Amino acid sequence: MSIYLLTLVVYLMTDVIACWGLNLQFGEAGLYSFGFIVCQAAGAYTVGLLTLGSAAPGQTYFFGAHLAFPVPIICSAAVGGVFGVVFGVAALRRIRLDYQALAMLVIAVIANYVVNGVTGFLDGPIGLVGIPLPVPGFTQAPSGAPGWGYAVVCVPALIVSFWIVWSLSRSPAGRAMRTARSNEAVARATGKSVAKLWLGALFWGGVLGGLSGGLLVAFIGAWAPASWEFTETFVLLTALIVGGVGNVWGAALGALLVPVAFAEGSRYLPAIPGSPDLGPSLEWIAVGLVTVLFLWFRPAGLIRERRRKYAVAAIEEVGEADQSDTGGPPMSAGVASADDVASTGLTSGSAATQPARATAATREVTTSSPVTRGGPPAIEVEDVVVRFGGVTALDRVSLVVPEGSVTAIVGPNGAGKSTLVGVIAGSQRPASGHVRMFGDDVTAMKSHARARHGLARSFQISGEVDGLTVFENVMIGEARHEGEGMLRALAGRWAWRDPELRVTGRAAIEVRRVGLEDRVNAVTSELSGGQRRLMEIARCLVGTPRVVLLDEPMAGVNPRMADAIIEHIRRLKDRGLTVLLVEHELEVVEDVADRIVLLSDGRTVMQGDTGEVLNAEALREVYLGV
Amino acid sequence: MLRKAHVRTGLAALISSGLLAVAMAGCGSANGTKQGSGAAVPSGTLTIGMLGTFSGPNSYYGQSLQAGCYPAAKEINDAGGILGHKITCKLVDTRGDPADAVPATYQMLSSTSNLVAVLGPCGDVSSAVDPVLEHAKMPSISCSGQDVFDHSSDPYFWRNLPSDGSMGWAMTAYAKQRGYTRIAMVFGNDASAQGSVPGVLQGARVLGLHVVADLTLTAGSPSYSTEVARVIQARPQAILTETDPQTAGTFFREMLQDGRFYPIIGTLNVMVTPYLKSVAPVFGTGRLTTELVGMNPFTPTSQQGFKVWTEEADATKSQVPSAAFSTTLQYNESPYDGLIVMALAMDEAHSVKGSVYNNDIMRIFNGGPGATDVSSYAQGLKLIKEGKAIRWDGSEGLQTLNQYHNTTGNFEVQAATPSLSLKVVGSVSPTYLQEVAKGT
Amino acid sequence: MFIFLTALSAGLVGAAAMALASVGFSMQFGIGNLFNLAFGALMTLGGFFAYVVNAAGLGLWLSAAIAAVGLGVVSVLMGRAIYRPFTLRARRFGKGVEAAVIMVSFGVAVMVQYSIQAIWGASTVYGYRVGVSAVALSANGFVLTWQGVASLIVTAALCALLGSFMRFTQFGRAMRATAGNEALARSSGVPVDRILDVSWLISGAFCGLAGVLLVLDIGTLDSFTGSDQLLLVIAGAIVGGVGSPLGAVLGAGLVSVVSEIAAGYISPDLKYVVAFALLVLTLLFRPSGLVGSTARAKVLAK
Repeated sequence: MSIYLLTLVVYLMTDVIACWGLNLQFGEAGLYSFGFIVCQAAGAYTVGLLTLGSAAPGQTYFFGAHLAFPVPIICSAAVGGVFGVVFGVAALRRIRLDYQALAMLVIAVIANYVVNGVTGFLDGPIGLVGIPLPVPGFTQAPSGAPGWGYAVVCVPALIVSFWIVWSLSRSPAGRAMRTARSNEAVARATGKSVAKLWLGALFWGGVLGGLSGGLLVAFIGAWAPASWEFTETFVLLTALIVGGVGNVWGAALGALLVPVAFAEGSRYLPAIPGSPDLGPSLEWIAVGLVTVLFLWFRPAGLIRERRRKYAVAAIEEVGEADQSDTGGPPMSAGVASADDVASTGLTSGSAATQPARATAATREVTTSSPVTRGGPPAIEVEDVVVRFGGVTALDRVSLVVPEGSVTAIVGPNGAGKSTLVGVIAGSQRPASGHVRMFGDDVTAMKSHARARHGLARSFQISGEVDGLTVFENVMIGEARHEGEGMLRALAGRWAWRDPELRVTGRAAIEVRRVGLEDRVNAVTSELSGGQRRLMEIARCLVGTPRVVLLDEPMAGVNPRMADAIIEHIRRLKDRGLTVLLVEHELEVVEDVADRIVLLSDGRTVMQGDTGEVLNAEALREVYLGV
Repeated sequence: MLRKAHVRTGLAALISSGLLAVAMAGCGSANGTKQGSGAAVPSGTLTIGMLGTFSGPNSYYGQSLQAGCYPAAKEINDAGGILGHKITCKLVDTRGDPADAVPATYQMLSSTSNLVAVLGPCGDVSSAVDPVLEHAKMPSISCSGQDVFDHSSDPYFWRNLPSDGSMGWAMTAYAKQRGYTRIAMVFGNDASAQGSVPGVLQGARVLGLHVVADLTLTAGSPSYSTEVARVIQARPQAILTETDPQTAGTFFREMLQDGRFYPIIGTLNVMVTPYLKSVAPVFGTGRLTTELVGMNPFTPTSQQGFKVWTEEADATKSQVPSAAFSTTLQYNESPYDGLIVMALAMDEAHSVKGSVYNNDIMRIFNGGPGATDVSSYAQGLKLIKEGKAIRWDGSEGLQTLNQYHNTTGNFEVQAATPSLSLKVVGSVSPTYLQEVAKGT
Repeated sequence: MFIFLTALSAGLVGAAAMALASVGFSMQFGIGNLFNLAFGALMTLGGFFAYVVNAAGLGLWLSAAIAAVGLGVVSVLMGRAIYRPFTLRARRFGKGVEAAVIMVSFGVAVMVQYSIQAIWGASTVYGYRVGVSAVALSANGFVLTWQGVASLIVTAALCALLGSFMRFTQFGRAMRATAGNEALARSSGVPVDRILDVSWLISGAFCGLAGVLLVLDIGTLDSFTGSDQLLLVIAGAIVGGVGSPLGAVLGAGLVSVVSEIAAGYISPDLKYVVAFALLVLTLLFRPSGLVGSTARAKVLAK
């Protein structure tokens, strides 16, 4: 009984580690790594190759190396990470998700075929046998079989794995990953390098995969292609679906319920003589059924991804303090995540002041400024050409957005406004021409770099990030969050806590300014269209941008809300920010813009002061065809 | 103020599930008594584990264990059982890969009541499972052909089937015997077939045969025309082969469509019923009975032991999947013989404990001075009670195991009959076999 | 040259069964927006439907027709009962429609595959009551049996029929409209639900028939016959260009012939590896396939 229980425990630990790794890639980062099992196989083969030495007569593995614990297991983790990156590169192509999944799956299939077919490399279908136990004095039972010492050896690996997934998940890096998972465009627009995030998820997820393989193989003693066919990834995915995607505890529960309890428990089913296929078949049919039922009734899994909630204390009325320089009284950064409340002693209700952090929070106050100034324009577009196939969407478009102005880009549908927004924001590469920000040529800069350079934007549709709360949606607006790196996350809370507190402070202020302070922990789907726009505006301001680009902020908003939004746009200008507004309702534009750029059929028809343009003939022609 | 509260829920769920899993594991094994718990003869029915692949595309491997176990169990029970206890055969599925086979074996060892012997495992999981059985001091009759056991020093490992390597040698020896000098190798990409490849290459080298084509077929392909073309272009005189049944059917059909055919020399696996069923319609009866042969260790069928086996097999026919039923296939005969030998060993040693009766297994296989040949369990039991030494002469006749617990001896050549049973059509020259053995 | 011609003829005949399957798969993907991982297992089911009636005494042609009809019905039921509700619900929850549906289709694949095994056994080999087909043409390695010829003719005819149906009839145009943009089609008055039913019916029939042709090509039938070919079917559909019957036919032909040639000249081990590599490269670098244009919104990231 004891040895079987040990088997269950070891398998549980390795399955949990594997599920955590897959969860990091699939649950947190949203990568469809259907080939994950390759990382586990890589780790297993690594440990095998490094410990077999010249075990079998006539066969030498890896120069006869007989490396001692813990070198092989550490190598298996590293190799797993490398394989995660190399084989996951398919994820970085911008293709639809099921194609991505299929590509990863097929890569795993190819790998299995190649290893199976090439004898002498990893011994083909027979695989590696006779893999020794590490530190046999400790891990081996008197009978020669593995003993409970082996489970003890697995525990540090389990702890390290837990640390990796947990620290990443709760950190700003985790939030960035979840942003990229739900809405890549917003992630890029808020300064997050999506490619780096994915590579990180692929690497660390792969590390866990390799680690699980290394631990498993020394226990079993053998490893062959039959042990890592592509269907194994689906078993792990089912575990995640059942247990809970995007949740560390959910992944662990899934590992317990699906691979371990289900598969092992089913061995207790009586075998039907004369029809031995029936038992195993029924068991697999049940797996399929469970998957479908869970996807229907409880797609989030048994333990759902938790909503990270924040406690926003009452903030003193901000009022006119905005417009002054640092002279005003320090504002209270009276906001904290529940963790912070516990650790720093901030409580709700009292406007407790933390001067050091508060000063940082006031940093975003700027002086108001007149519309025209000396100095380079905030945005300058020069002779930009964009073609899609045979259609020229933008034909040598040029425009200038003076610093501190509110400039509106108007034009009928199909004029090329969205394309132009893409060019300015960095999501659309022009065939020729330049884009400059405050004199710096940013044409070659990708959108996340431009965000870090001071450009914030909102989206015409789907600018909200589904997996995050309203408050988190606003927080991600900080494009230069110093605590957002993955390595910082792994180092521990102390490495990112201060920058994070600064961001939460600023986010609290902006949330208050747009009047959403009592919806901070709501899910974005609970907000109205207008409230979502306000949320995006708040997000734009968290990172102290220099230019704010608003893409049709009035679309789909009820009239009362529209007025509020217009008011906020005015306030942006009062704060001295440059605003670039894309709009096709001329009344709104008349209300709030200083300058208008009129676009039609991919060309700039005219640009100039509002009054001038609105009265021009050209405008009537373009809009009415008269 | 709103707080995070979800972490605790998660932990609670995890802990309770963990307890559940432990409880399940505990429940399962509460019924089992540990092997070697001290009592030499526990009470109740004794269990024989059939440890093999019972699911998936290779499930016919495991079915051979059933084809051998049920007849043997009936014979043993009819004669009064082992030390007065009846026995039963229990199916344990390894699922064909080491990662599943190992926990299956542990589970079998820990939760099967009165487990006294094991038939199997078969296939490529053996190298992972064998250490487990050794540690548990559980004697087993292996049905795996892996060469890695050719020089096994494991005391509880017994194999009365030829290794893949020795089959490869036999094939080349027979080819040389028939005068072929140009041979083509066509082997599937599964572990069993690939296990024979080194033996063939060694044999060809030592005996001076020219391997004109060496192909590995990927199982499951709807067409092998290009592979067939390569074989034809190489102009062999014979094909040495082992593949799974479906692949064989497709490959040879396309070869015939190209208007070519060559004599086929296969391993024992070309004589299993699914294989014959697959190629029979393609070859036609004429070719099937004359041009397809499989290597088999020399197993006579004229002795009384074969008759007994046939009777018992017929009597238990309904319990065995029909696809696996055959009285002339060694894969079925070996577990039958092996189980009866182990049963007699337990009787002789007055114990069902592996560490005690294991040594008797060798004595009963090889016979000692003054041993009487017995051809049925009842006969053997009677003589043991009289204190006499015995030697098993069963369905496969007299077998001799070497110091590595492997069979030695010559090979015979089998072919199919029109009704898809097997007959002996020749034997492999011992001279050539010895030459290969010496040269390797 | 001998090897080349052998490979070519083998590739063509293999392509016949595959093309039908790839067309069916492509249709389910293009119109029903379903990436159907269960397709291979369903082909096996079609093969078994034909086996059951064939063993009971019916002739081969009739058995094949019954298999086609049977699978058509099964597909319609699956579409209505499982896939449609999921697609609708997933859309409400936003991103990841494709992801949820692919996992659902995996669950269904498992259920179908193991139901087949439960009924007919995992490794038992079956066959149709047909003799070995005579050779129709044999020239320096290029070999075609009469059965291979029949498969090619049937496949070509059905694909041509489908192509004309899609192009020249009103219903066919409505199907293409649904494939392009379902919401738009619906609001334009296209009876989308009926379109979907018909497309399930047709693609299911193709699937079942493909299973039968596959069994005739291989010669034997067991529970893994269809699922072994799943990735190749997918490869044919995607390499050719999803949503287009012509694309599927070309893709199936290309994948089949290229892998046979690779097997002949390089190594038989690599036959499948080459096919899968083609698939991966297409997915990564030209996801619209041979026939599609890169501007098709369907294949780009959302």
